[in-house]
Amino acid sequence: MRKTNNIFALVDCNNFYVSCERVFDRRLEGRPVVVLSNNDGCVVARSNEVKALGVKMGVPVFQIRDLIEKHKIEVYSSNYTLYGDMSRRVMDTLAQFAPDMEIYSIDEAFLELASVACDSPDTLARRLQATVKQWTGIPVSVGMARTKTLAKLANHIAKKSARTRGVLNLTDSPWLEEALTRTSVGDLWGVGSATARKINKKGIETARHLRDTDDGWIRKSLGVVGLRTVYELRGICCYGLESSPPAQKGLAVTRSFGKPVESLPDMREAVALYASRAGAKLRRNRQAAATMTVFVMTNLFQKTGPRHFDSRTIEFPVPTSDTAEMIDYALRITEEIFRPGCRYKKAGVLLEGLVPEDNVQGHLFDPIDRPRSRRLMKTLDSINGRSPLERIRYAATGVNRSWQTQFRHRSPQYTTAWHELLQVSSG
Amino acid sequence: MKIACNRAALYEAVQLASSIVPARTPKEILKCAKIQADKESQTVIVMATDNEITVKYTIPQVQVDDGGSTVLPADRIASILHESSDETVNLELTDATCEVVGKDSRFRIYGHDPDDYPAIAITPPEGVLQIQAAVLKRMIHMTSFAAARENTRYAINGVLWEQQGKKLRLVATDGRRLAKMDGTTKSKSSDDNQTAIVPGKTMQVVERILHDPEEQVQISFPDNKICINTALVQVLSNLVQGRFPKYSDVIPEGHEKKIKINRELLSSGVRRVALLANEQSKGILLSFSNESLCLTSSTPEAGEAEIRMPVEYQGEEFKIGFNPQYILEALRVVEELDIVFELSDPGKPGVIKAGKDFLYVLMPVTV
Repeated sequence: MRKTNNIFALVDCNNFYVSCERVFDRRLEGRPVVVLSNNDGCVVARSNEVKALGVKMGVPVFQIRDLIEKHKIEVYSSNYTLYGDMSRRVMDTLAQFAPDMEIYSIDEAFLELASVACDSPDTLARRLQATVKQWTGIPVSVGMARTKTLAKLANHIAKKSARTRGVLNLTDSPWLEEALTRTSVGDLWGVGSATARKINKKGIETARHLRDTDDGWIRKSLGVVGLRTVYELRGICCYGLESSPPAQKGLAVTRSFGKPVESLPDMREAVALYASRAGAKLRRNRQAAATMTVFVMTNLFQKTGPRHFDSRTIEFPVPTSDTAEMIDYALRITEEIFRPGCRYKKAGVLLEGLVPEDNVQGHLFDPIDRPRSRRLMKTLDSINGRSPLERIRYAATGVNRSWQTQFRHRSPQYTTAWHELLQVSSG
Repeated sequence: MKIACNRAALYEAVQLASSIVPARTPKEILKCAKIQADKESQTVIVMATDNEITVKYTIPQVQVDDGGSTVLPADRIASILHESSDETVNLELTDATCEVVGKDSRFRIYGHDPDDYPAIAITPPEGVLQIQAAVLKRMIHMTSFAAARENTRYAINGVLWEQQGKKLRLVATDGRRLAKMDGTTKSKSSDDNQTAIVPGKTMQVVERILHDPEEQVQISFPDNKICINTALVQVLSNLVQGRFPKYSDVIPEGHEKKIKINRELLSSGVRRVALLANEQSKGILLSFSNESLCLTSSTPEAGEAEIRMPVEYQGEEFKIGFNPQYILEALRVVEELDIVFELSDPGKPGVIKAGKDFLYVLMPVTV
């Protein structure tokens, strides 16, 4: 099997959520910062200063209260509207450097650099790094190699090693062997903790050892996915760029409540709101859902009071993205599964069997006028736009929403809301 | 109990019983068939039930040395009889143990006490309607495939039977397509009217028991049940309780476009073009123009397909999308050489007609 001539670059934003907060608040530079999950529950992003204090990813915030006090850690609620918009700006900047790009996540993208005219990939990567920083304020690291798995590995080292200054090129590099030796299998792209344990049991600890392992054992123990990872470590490309993301198969809107929900009217409001948001997301993706699941749950670890989890799934007569229809079914399920006397902590709406909205099988006994429904939803979306303000909404989703997820430390939506623009004053 | 019986005849009866018994049930005895031998009439009766459907199969010309009854696991006894090549098998009961003896074999099967088996009482039919087996079999074959399988709208998991005098109509739908077939009965009174929804599983059982095309089948509807009788088999089944959708509202009339197509040609074309139908939408596009039909499909990551065929159509160009599976399932049951497609609008249901009694409505897919 021939090695490839591709040059994949993985561009990854450093501590992305923290970096987004720092762009608009320069006093955060050099100070310890954490960003919390929905409802301010757990740590989901840490600045390097916080990492140095030993705070792990995902740790509940109450466990680090003392550290926050002692080291004056700046605490932020997650502000996904801001992060989403900053991500778009970073990706738009990256797209100017390479025509072939795959947006891998909110803060990562793969670029194909072999077809880009430049002096050297290293120079291009440095220029890209500087431009993203200058145009968006976000620092990025770049890892380059012949395959996506190796590029990911290069990026991992570029982030950790000060000597690389955020750029590492392992394409035909003498450092490749060293990099593979120093990388443990658990740090490889596509190797989860269970797989890593399985590989370690065989006495294989490093990426280099895994690369040189017999194909037969790999195929038998790790399957074809494991074999692909090994080929990628050998420089044989098994994963190309996915320039158009695969169609989404499911979609979920689930939230923890700001305070326990005990009444059916509150639960109805919450579920109606989640169904409404799920519908809006579907229409943005130009999809329709065939089935919907609604679940409710109390804190399953609580020591007092009844614990309860229940869910129901329904199949829509016709795959739909109509908010009113989705709310109607969601509320019917809520009535069925809600149990009085329980203190519910979380609820959610899951949509599955997603199909393109213009590829829908009709139904003979469909009670809904579909063309009219499509026009109504289009009007609703054009009024609301992408704004989180919900200029027009279904009454079932509530007005006061006292149960709503809390974001006590959320920064303003600097880039998407006129009334929250950053203000600059002199003197 | 001690009997000698034609193996094939016993196998057929036991196999029918094993198709009734539930695969999983908290009551183990429901997985069994009851075999009852009567010395006086020299017959053996095989019975099975899942508490929804009950079958009673009478095997004549059996040598019954000792009468009696036994209850045996239906699947196991069916497998033993299936694997055997003997022409005759002997069954001999000692306590709850039954021995199945062949030329070179002896199987000892542990059964249950017949007294523990649910009481099965199939009342003799009061022939509300009589229909020729061949006609009924064809009506079932032409409609039951379109019934829903596990729909939450429970009524459409069955097939609607509508009797008006001597006319019998069967209708099945899963909401996306609808099959309707009319037939003629030998009802005693032209005033008899009956409407019932028969479960899909019962339809399959009835289709299986209709061997002799010339036989007259007796059908009655006692107490929210349907009772179907042939010379050898009686089937008693609960009816589906619920309201069948008002199907007549969705059968379109006055279509502008009527297209005559060779069934084999269309079936082959749809089968082939479906190979590249989009997995998500499962739709293919039918484009009609003067004397021609072009079938197309495409899947973004796989490719495209196009197949052309002659049709009898003269009119403006017209395009409509359908799920190929729904077209194929209808074409599979039709026997006529040609079918007629009736269409009006890409967003409205299309109709397939074959012969004078069969009508199939199918909703389009937007492609």
